[in-house]
Amino acid sequence: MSSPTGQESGMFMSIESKRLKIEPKTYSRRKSDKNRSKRNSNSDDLPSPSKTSKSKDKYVGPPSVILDNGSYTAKIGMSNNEPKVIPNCMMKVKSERKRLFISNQIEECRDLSGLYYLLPCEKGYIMKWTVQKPVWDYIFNNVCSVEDKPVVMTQPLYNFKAIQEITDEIFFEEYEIKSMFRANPTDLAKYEYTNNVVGKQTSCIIVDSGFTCTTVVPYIGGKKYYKGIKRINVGGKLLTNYLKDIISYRQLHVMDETYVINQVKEDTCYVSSDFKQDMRIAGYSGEQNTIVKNYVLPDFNTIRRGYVQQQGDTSEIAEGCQILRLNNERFTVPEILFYPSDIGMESMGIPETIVKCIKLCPPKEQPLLAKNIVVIGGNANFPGFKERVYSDVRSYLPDHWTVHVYKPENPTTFAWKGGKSLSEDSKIKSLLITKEQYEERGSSYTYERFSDWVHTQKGDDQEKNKVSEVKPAAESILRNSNFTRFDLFGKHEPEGEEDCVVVEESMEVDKTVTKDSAGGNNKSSESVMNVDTAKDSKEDDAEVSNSGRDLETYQEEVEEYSNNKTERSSSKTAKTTINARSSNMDTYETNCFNSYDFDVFENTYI
Amino acid sequence: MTISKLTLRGSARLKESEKRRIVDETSRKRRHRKMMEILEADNYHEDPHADLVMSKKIPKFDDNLETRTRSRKKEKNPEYYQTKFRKHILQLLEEDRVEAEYTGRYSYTDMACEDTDSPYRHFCAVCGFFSQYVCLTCGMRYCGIRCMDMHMDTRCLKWAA
Ligand SMILES: [Zn+2]
Ligand SMILES: [Zn+2]
Repeated sequence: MSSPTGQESGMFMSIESKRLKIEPKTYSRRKSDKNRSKRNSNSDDLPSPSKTSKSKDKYVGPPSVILDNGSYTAKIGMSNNEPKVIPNCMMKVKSERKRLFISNQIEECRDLSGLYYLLPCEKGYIMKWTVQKPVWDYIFNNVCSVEDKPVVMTQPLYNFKAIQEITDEIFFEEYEIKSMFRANPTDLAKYEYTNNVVGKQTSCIIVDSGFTCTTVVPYIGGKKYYKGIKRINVGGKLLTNYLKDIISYRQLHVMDETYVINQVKEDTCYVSSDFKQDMRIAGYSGEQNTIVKNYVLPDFNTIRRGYVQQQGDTSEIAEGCQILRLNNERFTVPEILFYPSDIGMESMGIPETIVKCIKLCPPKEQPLLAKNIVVIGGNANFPGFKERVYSDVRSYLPDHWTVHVYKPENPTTFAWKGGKSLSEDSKIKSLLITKEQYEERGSSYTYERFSDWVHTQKGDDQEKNKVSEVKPAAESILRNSNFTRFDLFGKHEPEGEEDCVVVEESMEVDKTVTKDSAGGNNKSSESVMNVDTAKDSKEDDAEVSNSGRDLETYQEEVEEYSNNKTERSSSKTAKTTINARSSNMDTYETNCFNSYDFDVFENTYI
Repeated sequence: MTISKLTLRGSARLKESEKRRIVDETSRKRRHRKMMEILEADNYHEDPHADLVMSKKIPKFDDNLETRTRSRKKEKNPEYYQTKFRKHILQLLEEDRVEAEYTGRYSYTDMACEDTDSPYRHFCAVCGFFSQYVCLTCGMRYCGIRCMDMHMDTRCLKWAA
């Protein structure tokens, strides 16, 4: 276990406190200044203030606690360390009465048969605090400590206010953390993908297939595009339960052995690349059947963990060992992710949902999204998962679009890694809410800041879509030259110019353009041009303000913002003013983390 | 139902199934719902030690870690938070929906995935391979005689009261 030594944290603390001193305006009004000056004893080596204002700089603050709080496993660790993947639950076993196993304490248990789960989440949301709280207590007492540290943690989409309130109370009041930032796991994955995988800002789709469900989340202009977000109610839990059910029906009663069968699933299941062909092979008998595998179940005596029996070594299996024969189960189980209808659910599968999600996004962005599909979450670990997502999505989309699916080296910890990277980004300072801020403004402040969906407007993006479907750039090309649609787009190679991509939907646009140009430049096309230039200049503004962003002003603005909060929610005018202002300090990369910012690109809240 | 299966081939079998009570749509839906409940459950079995009082003590913290300075009085037991929370998931979902409707924002319900457009694939309820036959009684599927017999003897809804 590698938590920082006392000395180290002391040093980091002093750097931090000195830096805080650089911003006297921001903090002078805070009541806890006493505290800070007390810690301010040894403060020689400071990063120069000018350096900290640059957004790409690495932020040398105290290491943060990064917690990706999944509904089955917690991904936990200090930002200067590697994450641990441990159960986010309590467990009971048949063999040991009177003992609750919390999280990875289960490693101490010898007989795992009939393991009973006490899970904290329902539908992905923390509902059982009598489970979650002891697990967090355990984690922060035994895996890494949180006290006086900044914490970056995940929460599900639309995490409810009541849940966020309790989370705040536990972390700020009981654990006495220094500061906190909460984001959706997909936000962190998006951050990691754009910053450390492709190395540039791009629209993308994050597919997070976890324990409870699978969410497909498009990011446009750095933000979640709420209209396109879809959730499939198939996750790892359902797959394990399904495998349990069919094994119990066909071979051996294992309904009580969720823990063991989950391991069977992890050890043997894969996503088929040719379902019909695999069905055929699994139907063969003898050596022709290359799919069938024998699995040796654990007996918790000599075998603690089950394993796939290698072909030909039937001899060394201990007597009394139970063997499962896995044939089409190996690939029909993960297949539910792709065809939930296989078990009678009416929902779309992952590829269909991705395509649907792309279609819901502005046409200009669609080819870009297809090029940047990121798969994360436990189910992405199935062999063949990524390849299948690719080939199915590929088959749905136009041939001339490039489809690319990215699977991180470790899909389970990718969001955690994003949290780590973000915590080392200087921007984190403006995202964190400090204990003092929480104490001053309460939980409604954290809710506003950490819940970007609160600021969405359903109508807005329909109107906006009307605007963005009229694509000024493409139009001007069409108007000024005699290109046909085929010339322009038919042979289109998205690799080269992704900025000027058009899809079928733009047919309408073309017609209006031709009409417009025939009858001279009438008002409608002019106004479109205006929108275009206005947009460009705004983008420029944003860039300028990005590079020379002044954190002091930023903090002030945030404060002002929250003071205006009440006024804002009641009057729409106030809303626009404030947000127009905050759009200046908006940075592209962290867009999705700023709940209060204004989308300069789309002219609306997203 | 003790007629030997061997004697019931072809049309004879058909007649037999006509005689049976056809399981109506409602029961078929109920069966599916029950199946989904099992698939979404955290556990299939009951808590083996539900009657026992578990030691609620949080394990002592690791000596390798720096000792906490957190004051004891700030520690609250989990029940405190649960009592304060006092919500059911459906209640939260409903609150979210109402608030969203009021303010016009997106909500949890907007994430719901649409129904699939792709055709359903049919599998044998017994062996899991592709199937072409439907049980006339209950609507489940099987792939051949062997699996049909198995189905009739086990999961066929004709046994359901
Ligand atoms: Zn069959
Ligand atoms: Zn039947």
